[in-house]
Amino acid sequence: MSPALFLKFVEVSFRKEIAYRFDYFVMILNGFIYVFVFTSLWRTVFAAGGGTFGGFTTKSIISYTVVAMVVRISFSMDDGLIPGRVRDGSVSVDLIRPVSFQLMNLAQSVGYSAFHLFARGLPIFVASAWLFGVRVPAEGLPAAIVSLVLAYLLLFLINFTTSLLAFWFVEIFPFTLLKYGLINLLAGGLLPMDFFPTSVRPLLSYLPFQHIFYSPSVILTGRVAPGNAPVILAEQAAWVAAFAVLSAVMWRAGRNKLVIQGG
Amino acid sequence: MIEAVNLKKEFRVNEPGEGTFGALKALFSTRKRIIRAVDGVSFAIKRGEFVGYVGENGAGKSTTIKILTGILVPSSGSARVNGIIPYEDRRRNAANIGVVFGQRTQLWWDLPVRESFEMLKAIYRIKPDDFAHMMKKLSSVLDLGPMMIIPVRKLSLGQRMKCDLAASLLHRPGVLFLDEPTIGLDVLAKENIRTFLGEINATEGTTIILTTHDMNDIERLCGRLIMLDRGRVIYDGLTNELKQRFAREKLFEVEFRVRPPSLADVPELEVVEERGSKLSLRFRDGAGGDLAAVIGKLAAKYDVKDVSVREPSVESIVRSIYEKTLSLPPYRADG
Amino acid sequence: MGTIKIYWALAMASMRARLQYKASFFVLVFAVTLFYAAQLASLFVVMSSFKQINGWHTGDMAFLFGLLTFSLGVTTLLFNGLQNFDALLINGEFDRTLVRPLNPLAQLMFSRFEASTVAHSVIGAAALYYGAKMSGIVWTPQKAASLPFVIVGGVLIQGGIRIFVNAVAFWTLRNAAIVHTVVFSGREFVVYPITIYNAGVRFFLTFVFPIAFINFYPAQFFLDKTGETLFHPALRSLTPAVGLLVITISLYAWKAGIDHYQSSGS
Ligand SMILES: Nc1ncnc2c1ncn2[C@@H]1O[C@H](COP(=O)(O)OP(=O)(O)OP(=O)(O)O)[C@@H](O)[C@H]1O
Ligand SMILES: [Mg+2]
Repeated sequence: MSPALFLKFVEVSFRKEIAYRFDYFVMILNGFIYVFVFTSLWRTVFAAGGGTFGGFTTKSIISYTVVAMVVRISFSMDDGLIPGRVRDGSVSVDLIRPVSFQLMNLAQSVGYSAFHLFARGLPIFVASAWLFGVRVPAEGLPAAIVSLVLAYLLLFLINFTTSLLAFWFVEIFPFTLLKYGLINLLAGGLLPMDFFPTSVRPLLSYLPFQHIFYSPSVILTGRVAPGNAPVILAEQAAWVAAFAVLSAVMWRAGRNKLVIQGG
Repeated sequence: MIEAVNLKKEFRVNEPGEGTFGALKALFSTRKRIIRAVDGVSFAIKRGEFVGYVGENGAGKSTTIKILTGILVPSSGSARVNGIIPYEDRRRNAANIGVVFGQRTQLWWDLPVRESFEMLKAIYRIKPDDFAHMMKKLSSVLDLGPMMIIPVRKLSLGQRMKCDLAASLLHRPGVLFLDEPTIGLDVLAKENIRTFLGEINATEGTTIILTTHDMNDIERLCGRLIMLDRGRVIYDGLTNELKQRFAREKLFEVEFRVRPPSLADVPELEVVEERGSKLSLRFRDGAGGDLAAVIGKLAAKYDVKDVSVREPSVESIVRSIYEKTLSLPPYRADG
Repeated sequence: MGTIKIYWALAMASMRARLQYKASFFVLVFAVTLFYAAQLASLFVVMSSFKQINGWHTGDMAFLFGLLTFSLGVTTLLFNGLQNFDALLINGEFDRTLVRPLNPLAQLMFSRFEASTVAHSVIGAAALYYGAKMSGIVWTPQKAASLPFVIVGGVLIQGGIRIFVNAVAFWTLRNAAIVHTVVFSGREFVVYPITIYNAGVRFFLTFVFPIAFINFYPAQFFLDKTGETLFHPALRSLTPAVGLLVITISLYAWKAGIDHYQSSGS
């Protein structure tokens, strides 16, 4: 797929999102609710506990919360796309198109997320930075950008892989729900991994989830020593590769199933 | 039975912006455009009539039906169905009418057909005896038997339409509204449904309003035709009358033994098409239409081998009206 | 009487339709259970680190969560038919409910019953039970008798909110964002005791968007939180009344929405 075509897909899906203005204003509010609830929560418990916990100060936990939340919002993706197309059979149109299905979906996802980044992530970040005095240190930025890209790919691939289950199951909502449950709990978008009991933390590091929001957020907020960032990036890249392979295998199997059994 | 007086319905639609930038701008603007979907429609339909309601895409047919079924409230004007004002007394009206929207089913997608009928029995409070009677009648005419145990989602379009028609008639409504019931069906399925509708109209005395783009439906079923153009009625009368009115649209297929260079001796006729010694002729605009006289004249003056006269079909008349090659005299609701 | 039978038949038909996909039904029950278990788990993660939030200990928090989630289960069971309401409106399927001699809202509610919500209720009931045990609630007759009323009140509040936000779709057509915000994200506010928020938000959650009545105020009553009083102690027993108020307002909004739909067609 040519970069120009990729960008065209990005643009189309970006534009699809703008179409409903009412939604737009509501969605900003939606993102802000989470920022507000968690900053309020951390302030309360940190104030009661003397102002520090698990390596965080009140100020740094609030920075983390805002940054992780903005990343989470900017990474919004449309889960219903592929399952919908599989269910109503229009995925066969995708099959006869001379473009890579994976890249086409990535392009659409990027367009979707770009809208959420500009329309929601940025306003929420600016407002929160002003309200809570959040600052992002500049020296970690290059590593953070790499980490964000890897995190985005990882989340995309996890979603993509889950969506592909639609080839085998009539109803994939349960899987989607399960995925959200795990991501909410284990990806660091709401709770930093540092708050988990020390007994379960080694277990978490064997799972891909914390590389979605936790890793880029700790790099962005400067909680990782610059020397340690490459280790995290390498782990992220390994997970991206693993899911890329898994999704490619599943896509191939799903496509064959469709071709042979007619859906 | 059904009465519409100067019905009007306006829709306001947002102007969408053009391009990505325009779309962004439209986030903050509120430009509206007004669409007059129905623009002063009046008619009165008597009990037992079978009326065809036709017009081009977007003429306002579905909108009228939605008003008469109580889904929409008119912007002005009034309507009565069986003495009830549908949009004011929606539920009471609903109990007396049957509605089929061709593109959508009213059946329960995941349930066997029989269960959908059972549901409707409950919803319309149909008495067990009446239900049994109606079920027997409908399933024998429509041959529903084999479909009854199949989930609706697995039916073919034609089978589903049969079931939808049966579903709309279970409670023996006095009025049946059909919005494009034959859309997407094959010739045979259409024919089955036409036969069925004709029978229901005759035996149950159901008043039927049918919108369709298939003029064969109209020709076969509808004694009366109401034609709509951009929200206004442009014809309301007997279907046959429409044909007679356009009798001069009759085509003469004439085969000559010796092809004449011109037809100057029969000025009433003009040539539409020619294939060798065969000509297609029709009455020139403004010329009188005495069929026998014209044919006699033709045979007397030229060496004619064969003449056949083709009746204009409603289809061809309506097409000509849509294409504006034919025009109807101005229509007045009270005349 | 006859009407109740009709709705009963509708509900049963929707159950049968649902059970056409038995396997996915059980998978869904499983998934929903795990989803809420994960939520409960994140609450326990926070409590394991911080021990208490403004004097609410782990048991109190579980009880708070239990009230919320149990009534959410009942609400979802009853109001599941309103899910994706905007899609019904956009593709015209809502018209079908209008050409039938029944109440459109009731038709929607009873035509897509979702029994898998037992999962919410199971998690909710478990949280209620263990929360009550851990925080040592003394079940006086008064408390025991109040519990059902509190649940019903909570269901009315949440059901009313769902009706209200779906009525919005009559004007805006697409309402997924507002449903998501108000129904799902809004709920996030009351996972924690509302004393963690500033005065404005407490006021908002009490008098404007009164979801604090689903769990916070009644939990104060059950847990005998006499030490903290927000606004007025009487609020602790107002949940059923607030429920009636919310449902009444939302039914008016729904009625207005239908009127608007019938006049604008969109
Ligand atoms: N809900 C609505 N909002 C805005 N405009 C509408 C709405 N419904 C219909 N219209 C417009 O009103 C006009 C008449 O539509 P209607 O559906 O009644 O036409 P129709 O005669 O049924 O056409 P078709 O043969 O294509 O079904 C069209 O221009 C249509 O775009
Ligand atoms: Mg139409």
